[in-house]
Amino acid sequence: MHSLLARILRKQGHGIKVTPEMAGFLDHISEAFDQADDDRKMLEHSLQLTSNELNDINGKLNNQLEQVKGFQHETENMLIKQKALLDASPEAMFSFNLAGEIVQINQSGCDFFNKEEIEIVAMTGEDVLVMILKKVLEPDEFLAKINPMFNSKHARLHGFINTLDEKTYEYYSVPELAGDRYIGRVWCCRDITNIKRQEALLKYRAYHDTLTDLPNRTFLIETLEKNIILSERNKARMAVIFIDLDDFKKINDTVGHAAGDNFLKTITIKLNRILRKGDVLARIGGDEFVLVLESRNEGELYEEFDTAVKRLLAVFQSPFIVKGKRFVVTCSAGMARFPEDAKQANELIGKADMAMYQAKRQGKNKVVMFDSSLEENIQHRIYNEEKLHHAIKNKEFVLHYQPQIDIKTGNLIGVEALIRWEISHGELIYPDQFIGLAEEMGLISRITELVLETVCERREAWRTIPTLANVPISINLSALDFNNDQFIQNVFEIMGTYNFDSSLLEFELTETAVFDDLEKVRNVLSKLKQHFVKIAIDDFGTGYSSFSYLQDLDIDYLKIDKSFVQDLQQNKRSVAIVKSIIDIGVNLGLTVIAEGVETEEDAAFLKAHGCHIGQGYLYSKPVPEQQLIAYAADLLSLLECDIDNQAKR
Amino acid sequence: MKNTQYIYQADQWDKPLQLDIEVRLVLLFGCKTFSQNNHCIEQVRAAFPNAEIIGCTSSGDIAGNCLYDESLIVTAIEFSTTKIRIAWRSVIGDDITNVCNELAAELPKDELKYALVLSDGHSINGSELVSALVAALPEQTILTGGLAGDGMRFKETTVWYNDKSEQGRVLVCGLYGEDLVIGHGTKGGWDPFGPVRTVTKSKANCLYQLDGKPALTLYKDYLGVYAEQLPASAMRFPLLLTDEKNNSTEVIRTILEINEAEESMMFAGDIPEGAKAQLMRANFDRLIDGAEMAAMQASAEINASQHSLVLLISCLGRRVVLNQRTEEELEAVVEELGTEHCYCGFYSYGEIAPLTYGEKSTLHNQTMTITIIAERNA
Repeated sequence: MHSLLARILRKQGHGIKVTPEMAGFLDHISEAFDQADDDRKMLEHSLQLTSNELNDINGKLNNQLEQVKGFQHETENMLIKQKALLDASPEAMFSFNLAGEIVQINQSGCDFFNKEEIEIVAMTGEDVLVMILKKVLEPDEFLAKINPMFNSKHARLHGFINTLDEKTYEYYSVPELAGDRYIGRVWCCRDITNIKRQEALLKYRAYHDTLTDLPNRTFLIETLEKNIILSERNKARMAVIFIDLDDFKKINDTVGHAAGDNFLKTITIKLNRILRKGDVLARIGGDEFVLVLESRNEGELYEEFDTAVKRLLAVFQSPFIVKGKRFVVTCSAGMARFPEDAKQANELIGKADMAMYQAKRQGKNKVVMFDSSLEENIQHRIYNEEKLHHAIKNKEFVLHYQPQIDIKTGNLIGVEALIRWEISHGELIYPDQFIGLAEEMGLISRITELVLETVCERREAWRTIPTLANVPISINLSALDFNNDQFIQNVFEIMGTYNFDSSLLEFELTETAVFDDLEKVRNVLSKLKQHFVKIAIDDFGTGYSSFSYLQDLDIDYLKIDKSFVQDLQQNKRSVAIVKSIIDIGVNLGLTVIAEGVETEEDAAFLKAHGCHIGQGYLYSKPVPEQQLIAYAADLLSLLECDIDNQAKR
Repeated sequence: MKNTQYIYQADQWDKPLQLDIEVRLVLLFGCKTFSQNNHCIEQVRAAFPNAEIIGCTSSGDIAGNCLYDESLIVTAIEFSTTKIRIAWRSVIGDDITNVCNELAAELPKDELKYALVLSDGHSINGSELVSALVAALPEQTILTGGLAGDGMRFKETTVWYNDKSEQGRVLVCGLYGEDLVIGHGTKGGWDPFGPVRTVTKSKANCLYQLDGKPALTLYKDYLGVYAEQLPASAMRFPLLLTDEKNNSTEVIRTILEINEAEESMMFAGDIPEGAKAQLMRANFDRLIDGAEMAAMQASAEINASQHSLVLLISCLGRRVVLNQRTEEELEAVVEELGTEHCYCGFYSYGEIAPLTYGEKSTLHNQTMTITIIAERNA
């Protein structure tokens, strides 16, 4: 029986008679008490368990909350860092939500719109679009560019926009996807205005000459190619004029390269003035310019050409004053025509160049029109160039010697070695036909060296020939030999190899060579003089004939140019010049040599006026070695005969 | 409609069985002992020679507002116009969907207003049975019923059909007729408590883990000393399931069996993985209120005549908890609906009915499920 029921019965149940029926009744009541107890216990137990479970869960949740707070803190830090990272970027970045509103933007993005962030994020999608369209230069074009974005949310966009404030932006737009879910779109805009400007500048530089700002060769070729296509289509004609300044080098050498550059700028300005609309003037080399003229019909083209040529030459008509000095600079030009002369840009320029060279050959300061014979000449020249290379390689040169005679005694006092190119079967080519080419080809020093080598070799042979053993021998130097620093070194090496008595060697150089770089010449001559080499100034009177260098330089001989000597009988001026040169030479203590002595009268005149040495056909033309040997022997015997006769008298 | 009720208990009828050749349907609910007691059944058959006799074993029999044990409740029904049709099938070794389709096929679909299903309550997955039957039967047919019980033993249940009483059987009794009126109501009255848990491991109606821990251990903890009485004692803590994948429908599930080796528990209906589960506990007053509300719901849509049959199928779990007070829920129902009706029914291992009018039937646990069967103008 339930304890509570038992207690109630004990305390309050006096007189209750427990019959079997009553016992059953009391059992039910007891059971009800037990059930109530069990239910209560079950409930309490459940409550306790639930409470424990909930406390447990609560503890876990608190831990999770702490973790979440930690994550939240980290996330906040991360967001702050990301924001700072984004703000540090010079690229404008903004993120749109599905409604087209900007929900996130960095500082550059705010600067892009010239608005505060708070202002921008408060705008509706429509307002944002209006704001963007108001910023771009061509809104319709921009809308067309971004149209794919409206058709497909997954579209990725990339392009360029120009804004009203004259800036260029490169943009990227990518969808923001959470898995497959589209949640918005991010845009990045990079200001590439400076890059574009830089690109434009680089492109400009690639096509223009930095000094004069004129189109360069690349620009010229491309323009010419385009013009050729247009001209072919329009049946139009063109002229390409290749211009090269004459004697520009003088300016650089005299007043320096900076002044030379300024001079080129001045020339550019002047040339630009003669251009018509549509003409192209390009600078393609140091002092080389190309002018492209266009015309529609032949007649007009030639008229235009004449006018252009006249104007071109007129630019150079007056002398130029550079750094207070007066310079006469002219131009040589060649013209090639499209389509008659050539149909390709490079060919046109090349042919105009050929014509220009012809102008140079014809004495400069003129314009020559290309014709096919020029091309043939050029081809001949190319042929010669190859031949010359071959000749040097195979030493196809021979020396002829022209005696130099003491005017007073008639003795052989020296010989001048003169080079001949023996092309085949004894056929000879004279220096005036190939020395210029050799100089242009940069081969002249090698030829001079070949001459020296031969001279050294022959002199060795002449040791056994009494009439020549002690006769000095002279060799012509080119002005370009002085520009070749290696040359003088080679000279000494060659002489060393042959154990050559350098006191028997003379070098003849022209006034032009002296004038080019006086200081350099002085140094070279000084080195030569240290080895007792004699120096002669050749063709004196035809060049600059400055007294100053005669004073400055340690020279031994003055050679009067043959043009004066040959003219002695006809021209009083020549007489005066020859007399003057002899006087100068004598007065400066130099030995004077007269070239071109052809008659006894010339010899007599020279002798009478104190000239020391004569050279010319009167005595002997330049002859091969064997003839020289014979000549020397004959001369000696002749002189000995004279002495005998005088003695007999 | 005329209903006559007889109660057999302690080897005797409460009153002599009267021969009635008009009776077309006899409902039997009783103790498993009677499934082997052919003598009793033969008496019933003799009294109602023209009737279909159907029924099942129970975990307590209901007649009027009284609860009987070790008894047999016989309710003889004489319909005015209603026609009946019975189908029954074994589900052992057969696919339940096939069985339900065959059952439904035996019942003419036209004017099938109501189907009473009585099923084995031990070897059948009630959830699957109900959904298969709902699918097989016409949409307008109201389906109610219950799973047979076996006292507190959970060992063997049988379904009666005439002279047969077999395990693993499902019986469907179809009622036809223009005058037939059906009311139904289902209420629990249990209160969820404690934390909401997640079903982390389950298979069909077998639950292994809640929140990654063995569900059986949890039940044992909560049951304390009553753990020894598992699985019956687990009726004290039915499970409220909320399946978010299935429109967050809430169902209450009671335990049928445990497997100590697997630490698993078998429920009367499916326990889907991922569903939310919360233990429920009884509140006497709320359980009794629940029964009353089920009665109100059952009568709300019909204007029941005096001779209605009220079929009460209540869950064994309620009985376990209410214990001595079990009859209070029966009294509450009779008080609500009136004494003029014939009340019969049983305590079951699972109740079947729509949750509300117009919905499809589902399997319930821990509810009082009431079906009112009446005929207009009767």
